[in-house]
Amino acid sequence: MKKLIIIPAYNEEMNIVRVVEEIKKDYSQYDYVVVNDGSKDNTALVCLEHGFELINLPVNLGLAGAFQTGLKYAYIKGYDYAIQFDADGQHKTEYIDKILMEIEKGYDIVIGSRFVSKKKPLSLRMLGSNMISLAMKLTTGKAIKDPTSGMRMLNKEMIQEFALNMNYGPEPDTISYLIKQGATISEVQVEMDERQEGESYLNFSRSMLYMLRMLISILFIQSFRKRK
Amino acid sequence: MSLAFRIILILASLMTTLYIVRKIRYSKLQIEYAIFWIILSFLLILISIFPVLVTIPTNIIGMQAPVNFVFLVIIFILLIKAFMQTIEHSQLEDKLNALAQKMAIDEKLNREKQTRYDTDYSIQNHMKKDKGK
Repeated sequence: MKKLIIIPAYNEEMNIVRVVEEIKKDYSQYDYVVVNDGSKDNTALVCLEHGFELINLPVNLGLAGAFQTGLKYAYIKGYDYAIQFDADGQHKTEYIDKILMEIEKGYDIVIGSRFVSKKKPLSLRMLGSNMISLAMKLTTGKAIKDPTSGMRMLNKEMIQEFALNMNYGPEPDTISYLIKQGATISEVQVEMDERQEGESYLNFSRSMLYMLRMLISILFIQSFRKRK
Repeated sequence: MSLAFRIILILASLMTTLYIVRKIRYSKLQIEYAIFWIILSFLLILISIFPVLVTIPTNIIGMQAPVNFVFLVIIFILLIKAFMQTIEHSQLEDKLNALAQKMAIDEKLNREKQTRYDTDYSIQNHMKKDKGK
């Protein structure tokens, strides 16, 4: 079974070496690829200096575009499983095996979830997470505890579908759409770290816009989308 | 407002929404961009069914006719949208330039590498021939 870890990186020169070295050291049975999303800092240079596997996008495509690049690569090289792994150090490598074991039971997508057996803390961000969960429950009938987790593993069919189509961003609305189309999804309890260096992309107004987009998309748009 | 006119307004806004939804259904546009049109088309339906939504603010600002208020607001929304699209358009063009330039420069660098390799190769062959003599 060929397994690929896709690491989208935007301005992560501070974090990328630590993350990739850890994967190379402890998880050499997995292949990995860093997708540099047109970073303004020296992410690409740092990767080349260390001899990392690198796909270097010449322009910034955003997370969806960068992740899709990794999936296209996985599709072309015939990988069986691919996992999205953040370059900022939030995702912990020790859970990759656990997620792989779950997806080998035959699921299409397995989410590394923070809240399967643990309760959500009370915060504004988690209120947003709850609202997305509720919207998904209303439209699909299935409860996803941690819809915004970026740690997701896809099987071969999903790799192909994500790689070749429009509107397959690595976001909760895509998951919602796929559940409705009959994809099987499971969650595995993981822990995540706070990001260690650099700045988060989501500030308050961006978070609000993100929420609005997700809710309209999940509650409305996904219900009349047609699968190709 | 006559009943016939209201019915025309409601039908027109419903059909606009239907058209937009159909296009989204067949994945003709990205969801990010679809959201604006979904909200706008809902707004049109809402206004056509409940015209008080327009008459109340018209009276509050002290405008002459509700239709002026509608024109003002919609034209303003479209103006802003047009400007935002100009920004997106410019950024796309910039990215397209960057991509074309990168491809062309990479291709030139590859060709340089290839000719260097070819020359090296023919020199080596010549040297082998010389040795053979």
